[in-house]
Amino acid sequence: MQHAQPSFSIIIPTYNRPRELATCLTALTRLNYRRDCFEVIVVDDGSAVLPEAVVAPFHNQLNICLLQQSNTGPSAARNTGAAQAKGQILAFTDDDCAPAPEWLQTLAARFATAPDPVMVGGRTLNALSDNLYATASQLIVEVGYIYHNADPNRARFFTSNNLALPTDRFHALGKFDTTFGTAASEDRELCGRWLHHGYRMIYAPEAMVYHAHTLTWRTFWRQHFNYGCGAFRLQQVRLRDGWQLFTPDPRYYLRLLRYPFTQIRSPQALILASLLFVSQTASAVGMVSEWAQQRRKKTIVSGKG
Amino acid sequence: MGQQSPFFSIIVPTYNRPEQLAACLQSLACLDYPRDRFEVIVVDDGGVVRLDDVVADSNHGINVTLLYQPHAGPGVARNFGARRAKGEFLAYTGDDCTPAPDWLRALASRFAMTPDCALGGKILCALPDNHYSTASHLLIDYLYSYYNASPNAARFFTPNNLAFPTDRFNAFGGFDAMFVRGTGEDRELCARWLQHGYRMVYAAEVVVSHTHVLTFGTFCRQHFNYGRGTWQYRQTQAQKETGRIILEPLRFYFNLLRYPLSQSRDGNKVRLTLLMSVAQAANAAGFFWEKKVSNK
Repeated sequence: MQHAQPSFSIIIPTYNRPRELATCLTALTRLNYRRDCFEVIVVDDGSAVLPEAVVAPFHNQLNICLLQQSNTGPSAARNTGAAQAKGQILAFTDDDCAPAPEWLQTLAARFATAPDPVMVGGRTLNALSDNLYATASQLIVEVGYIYHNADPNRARFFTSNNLALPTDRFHALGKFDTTFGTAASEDRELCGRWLHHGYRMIYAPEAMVYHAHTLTWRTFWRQHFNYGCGAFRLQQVRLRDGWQLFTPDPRYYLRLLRYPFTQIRSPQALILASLLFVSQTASAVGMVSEWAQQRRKKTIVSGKG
Repeated sequence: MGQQSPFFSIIVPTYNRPEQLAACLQSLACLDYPRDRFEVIVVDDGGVVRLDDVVADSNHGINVTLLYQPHAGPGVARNFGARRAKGEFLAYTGDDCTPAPDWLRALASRFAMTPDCALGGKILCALPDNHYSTASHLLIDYLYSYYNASPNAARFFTPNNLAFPTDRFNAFGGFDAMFVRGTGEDRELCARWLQHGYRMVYAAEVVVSHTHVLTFGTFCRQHFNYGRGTWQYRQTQAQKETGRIILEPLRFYFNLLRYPLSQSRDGNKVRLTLLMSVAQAANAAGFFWEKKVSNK
């Protein structure tokens, strides 16, 4: 691979996870990519304790800086980081992620060969295979990728913990939508907007990131509840912008419930399939509760008027 | 995201053990995995026994290639096999091992989830009535429980049940050739793999049985050689890092001697604890022997 190495800005939003952040930064010290060709921008999203002490030891190994903002959610933090980025390409990952050593190298190879402008998304792997909830959450993402990115050169959905795009295009496009807050889906919204401009998305499974998000029954439920809230807001954004609404495809849900059985051996697969069912219930409850909440707000507003 | 099973290259280094090799190939012929999705590469590490007949005889519809090298140790033999491998993944086992029928299937489903990791599986002792073999295995079990307490961040595997993505293994440089006796090269490889930022995952459902017949003499020699390997390994680490030889904390050795008490049946406990002590003594002797020899 004789391509010139493009410069990257790796953006990492973080919120009250100093230990995970240290693991993430350690992984970045092992990237086999020229040190003068990437910078690391950590954006603290208003943690109780600013992770200065976590970042400090990495100053002699990485070109790294720490930015600070009041707590306004990961999307706003990513935008804050991107505003300071000097690299040609923005590479987004999260504080609970550890990119594999070849991450930037493989992304660079894709940018070198794909027609501009392109957004490249890598493969996210579960680093906690002994945590059933984390495994289930990762399976959902995998099924989503199989469904949306069946043609890797015409991909349609990437999660924000492993995606890269040219810095100038990101700014021209209008960054991440910050109205989602803790409700995820800001990545889906960004991908939708990117495609709406007629730009291309390429799925690069060789660009790997390990995701270590410890989940319990409660946090698993809340995560998928939040996804449901996000999905409802996403529909509203699409409605506002006059786009076609996203219609659920029953085949997708069938595939989702069947997926564990094709991947894992029986007893665990059954438990996982049940967890996937729970996750979809949580999402549905999240959607309805978001709808109810907004209706209530509207009633109050119109009642006042 | 192909639905097709990944292609494996099974690599078996061998040295003057035709009977064991025949049993090993026999077990590979029983693997529950599509025949056209794996190859077997036997690397003869300069043994005096011709293996052509053994390989031809055990060829039950599986694709076996026999390579020969002048005696240079199992690490070099494994590297040689890896360079000839056509598979997407390498699966290493020993000539005195018999992998379980679902070995490759279990590896394949793990690689589907973590395609760039080194995967290490469980090694069972196939000779439970041989006290020396049992004690040697107990030691491996102990090391696995110590170093691989967190299966997703494992730190030590032996090459009898170990798998890699081929490209990454070859680019990484494989086993260090300086460990000719085949002790210590596994620890060096694992440490270097982790230093590169690569991951190791312990997969207990990936099973290989190990049939290594030991007597009191060979048991002592085995652990003496482990000691020599340990010294060589510590040497390579010391050169890379601080220049000082680092040992495990005392707790490690104390728990090691206690381990048989927690793991084995009543009647064997005392005998196994004694054997573990003998193994540690032989190990220490080997360690200091090698130190003396290499300081000359």
